[in-house]
Amino acid sequence: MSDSIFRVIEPGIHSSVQDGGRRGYRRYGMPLSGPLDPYAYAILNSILGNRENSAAVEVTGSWFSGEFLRDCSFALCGADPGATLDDAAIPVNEVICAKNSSILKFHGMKSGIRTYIGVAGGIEGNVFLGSTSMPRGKRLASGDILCFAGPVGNPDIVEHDFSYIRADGKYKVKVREGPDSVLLGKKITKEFIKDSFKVSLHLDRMGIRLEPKEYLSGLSDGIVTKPVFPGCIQVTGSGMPVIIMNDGQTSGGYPVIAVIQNEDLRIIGQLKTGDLLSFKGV
Amino acid sequence: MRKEYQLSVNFQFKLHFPADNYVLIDFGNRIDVDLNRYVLSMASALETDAIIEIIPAYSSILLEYNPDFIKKHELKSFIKSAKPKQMENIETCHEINVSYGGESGPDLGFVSQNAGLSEQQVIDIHTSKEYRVFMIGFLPGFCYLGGLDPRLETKRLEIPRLLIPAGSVGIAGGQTGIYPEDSPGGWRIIGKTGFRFFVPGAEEPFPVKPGDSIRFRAVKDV
Repeated sequence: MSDSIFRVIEPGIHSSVQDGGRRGYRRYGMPLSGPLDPYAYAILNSILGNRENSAAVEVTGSWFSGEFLRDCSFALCGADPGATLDDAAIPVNEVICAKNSSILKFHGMKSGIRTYIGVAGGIEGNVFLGSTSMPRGKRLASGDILCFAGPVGNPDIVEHDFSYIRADGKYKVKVREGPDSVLLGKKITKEFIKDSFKVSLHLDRMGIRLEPKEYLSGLSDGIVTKPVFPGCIQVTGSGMPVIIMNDGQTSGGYPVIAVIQNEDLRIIGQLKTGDLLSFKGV
Repeated sequence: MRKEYQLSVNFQFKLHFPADNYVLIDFGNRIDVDLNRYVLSMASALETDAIIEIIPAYSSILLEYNPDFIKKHELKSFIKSAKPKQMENIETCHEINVSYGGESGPDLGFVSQNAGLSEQQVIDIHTSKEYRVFMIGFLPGFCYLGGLDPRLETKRLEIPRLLIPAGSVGIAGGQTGIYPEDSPGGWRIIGKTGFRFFVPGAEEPFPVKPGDSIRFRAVKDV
């Protein structure tokens, strides 16, 4: 294809094309999708001069590599993946020029877990129900070729601050009490918000499981199924808090104890196993 | 098949503002046909440009809104003054062909033994009713159906199957439902339908809407 711009060599743990998300179909059970670190995604498109919702590649973890198929400007935003372009180290959050057949390779996340790759002009994805975000279950595979959308816009000089991605893995996020906090008990909810939780092995684009706590177990037999959205923290019968993410279910039968506020969703998108999460009630 | 109904009015609700762009309209933890009709009518009465997405469930509605377009207090009074539409009191019943038992429904034998009924009796009971689609969620096109005959209630599998093919009709506890796509799952599978609840690429990718109903019809093959 003439407008091919990038070929995936190694897709890593989970790489997918994402735009601003898929709206209008959650009432039919279709997840929202979209970037898990919306801040990094937004900065990426601004520095490249792309439209706000231009599609980019979201990479989770290391072991990603690919080849540029034409000369272009690109950028990496979010977690620093220790990237090289043709074996020369490159920084995150800056526009970089790639040559046809340049090799981009990630060597290991320094902190955080998600990096966004974008090209000036954006990536052209398959539009499915109004969005180019890959639906749950779909991901990039070795050999996949990404096409250039265009046209190239005017790059913005934007201030950015990625200090929320922490090397020590200790995070604090703002929460409000959830719709089911009364059902669970105000006292339990207060204790939950004061507590801190280790991030378990089970984390993906659907949800993040936190370590279970005794005082959270057996609080309810479940609720009548209600809609949920990214940032909702459900408590399962075994006392395990689960943060709903962008590819997660649109509705759930577990009570929602607290809800992570929008400005801190970017932190949730950078959590990895073993990190320590605590809350600040607002 | 379409049928009319009367809308009951004046259900009470609470508003939760769990995030800057979401409001949950909560009518309480209740499964009730009249309430669900009210919820769905109210959901369509709330359509306006400032609201990005409306997601109704059994007894609640989630709204995603744009706080730059509508302030919290404006949204509150908009919701409180919303009048559910009396005009659209029509629901569609979808007849769905199901091949019961055999390879299509490997758990039909278990369900019938568990109920102390013959397989044919289970099929007769399962096909004798209309099931209301209270809401859609869990998987794209998965309908939460109400009205399973209590005689057919069966516990889930102890160990979920790794793959249940799309179109499988199952029972879990007091619920019956259809898997819209291939998925792992613990439901007791009694049959299979060729009807698709999620048709990517079609003009109407989700042919069944909340508030519709489903009637199963036993056929040899689907």
